Amino acid sequence: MDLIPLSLFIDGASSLASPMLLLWIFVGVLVGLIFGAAPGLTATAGVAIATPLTFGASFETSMALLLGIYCGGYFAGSIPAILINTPGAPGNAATALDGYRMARAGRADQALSLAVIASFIGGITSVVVLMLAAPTLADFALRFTSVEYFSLGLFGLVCIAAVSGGSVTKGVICALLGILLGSIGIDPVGGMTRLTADIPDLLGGIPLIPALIAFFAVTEMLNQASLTSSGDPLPVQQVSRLATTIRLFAANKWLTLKSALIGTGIGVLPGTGPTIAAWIAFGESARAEQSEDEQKNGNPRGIIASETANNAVTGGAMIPLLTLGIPGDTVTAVLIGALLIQGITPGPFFMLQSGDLFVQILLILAVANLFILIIGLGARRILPSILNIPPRILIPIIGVLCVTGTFAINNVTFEVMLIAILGASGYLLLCFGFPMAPLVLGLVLGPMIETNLRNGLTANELNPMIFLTRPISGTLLAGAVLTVLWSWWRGRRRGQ
Amino acid sequence: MFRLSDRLAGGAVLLGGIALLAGTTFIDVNALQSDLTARFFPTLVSLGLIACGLLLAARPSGRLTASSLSSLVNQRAILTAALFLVYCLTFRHVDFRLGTALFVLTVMWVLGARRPIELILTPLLVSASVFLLFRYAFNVLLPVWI
Repeated sequence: MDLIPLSLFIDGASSLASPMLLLWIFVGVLVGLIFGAAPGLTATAGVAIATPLTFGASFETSMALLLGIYCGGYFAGSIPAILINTPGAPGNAATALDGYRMARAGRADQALSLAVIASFIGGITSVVVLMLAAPTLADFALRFTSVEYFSLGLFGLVCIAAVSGGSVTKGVICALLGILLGSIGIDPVGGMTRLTADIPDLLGGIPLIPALIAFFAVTEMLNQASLTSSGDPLPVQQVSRLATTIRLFAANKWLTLKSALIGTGIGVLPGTGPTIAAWIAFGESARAEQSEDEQKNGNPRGIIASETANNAVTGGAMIPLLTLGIPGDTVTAVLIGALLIQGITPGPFFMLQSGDLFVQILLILAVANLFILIIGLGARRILPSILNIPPRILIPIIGVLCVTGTFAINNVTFEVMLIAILGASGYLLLCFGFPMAPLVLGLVLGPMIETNLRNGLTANELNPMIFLTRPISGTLLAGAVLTVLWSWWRGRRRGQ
Repeated sequence: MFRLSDRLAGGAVLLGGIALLAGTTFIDVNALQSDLTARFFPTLVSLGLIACGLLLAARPSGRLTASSLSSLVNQRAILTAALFLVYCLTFRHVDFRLGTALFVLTVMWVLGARRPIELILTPLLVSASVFLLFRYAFNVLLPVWI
């Protein structure tokens, strides 16, 4: 382990003991909450917009604002995911599965509390890992080649296809459909155009956030429209005691720890990000036996796992950024620009030459997570009031937010039309009992799986055995096979 | 009936997979790439879809509920989907404030809203507040006539 000297820690901490700096972190978290919660806007967009504003600011102020937005944005996407089944960001899509069911069952308060505390635990754990083992983890991440990335992608996809509920075959079909959507556009290896039906707007592929809005929000909007006639009102929202929520974390301490480590570990790997981390952790949570009530009304374990992993990515993604100069996710890619504005080049010498700045980054991340906890727990009783809006008013509002949020991403009207088509297709699949989660994850992981499969095979003389003989890759593939077998066995047992 | 719907879905997936497999032959390939071309991965996916389609058609799960299939022919859902499609298709041509107000009004009517105050105020408030939020807070240039 590479520990930071105590004197350096004290130096870094003393420079943060300024009310103005704390205020900047608070402002950053608030801006991040707004960007994260608004469908179509993400933490990446928030950080990108705020970066030019830091030209005249000091290093501490600039990092306080940007890291506040980073952490706040990653958490806030869970709020619309839980309340209206519209993930604010791709990383919060897994949270929508159980969170929305809990909200519909009158437990929105508890679902939001779980998301807030899980985000806090995930964020803090990743900061601790960053503090203790940043260089060691960065060396480990460098050992990942195309072979390991392919196996990691396949493992994530198979986990979700197998545990997303219902038939394994339907889960796999949806994963394949997602991969198919992900392969539309320009071939990532050879650069050839494919499956675009000569539509120029499809050259860039199916954009992720509009697809996410279509498959979760539009599909749910249509589903709710079909249910309004049944006269089935929502139950009264229950007030959840904080002690009960904390007891849930105590009961699931190993899942929480495992999810935090999954999030940090995946954050360390360049080019991954919170979406993959959240889904893999969600897959882990779904392995446990679920009661009929948990299947119908949402399982707190799903929220704990996905939100812990989602926010644990924040610290994890900083590891390759600060130790190797390689961004771990999209936000850290933008943060490189912010560091360069300050005249700092992240890389192998950053910790040696600017150890105090490294400590400041750690502490800002920790304080930002603390603010998320305070603001999130403070607002958890007010936010569920959204669910009291009658469906005849809420459904069109969701529709308008879907369209406006989609348009806001790139100001492209084609993407608005795309959500209507994908949303209607998703609704059709839903009616036939196909799950949405593998479809979305296939879209996210498809390009990663394809690129690394082709690169891995090409680099190893087209020998497919390389995926089994490399230890990390072989372990991941064995895990994927075991997950499918276990899911099939569980399905048979239930059938009996 | 539910097993039949799985067989139908499996058949559709099977046909889709075959169509995709045929479609991959039309994908242009880079002359410099000899082995793994742009066709390689879509071909793998199409073979996977064919296999899964066959499996679903041959061994339907039959776990669907009556409510999920009945949603398919639900009049309110179909009308809401149609209105949403019209809203999306006309988004670039119609003033955002007008189009949004009309969309909210018609969907509310379809979903059973009949109180005049509600039908007048809600579309206006939703349209104005979303426009102001995105135009001035998030700086998004929404389509407008004036």
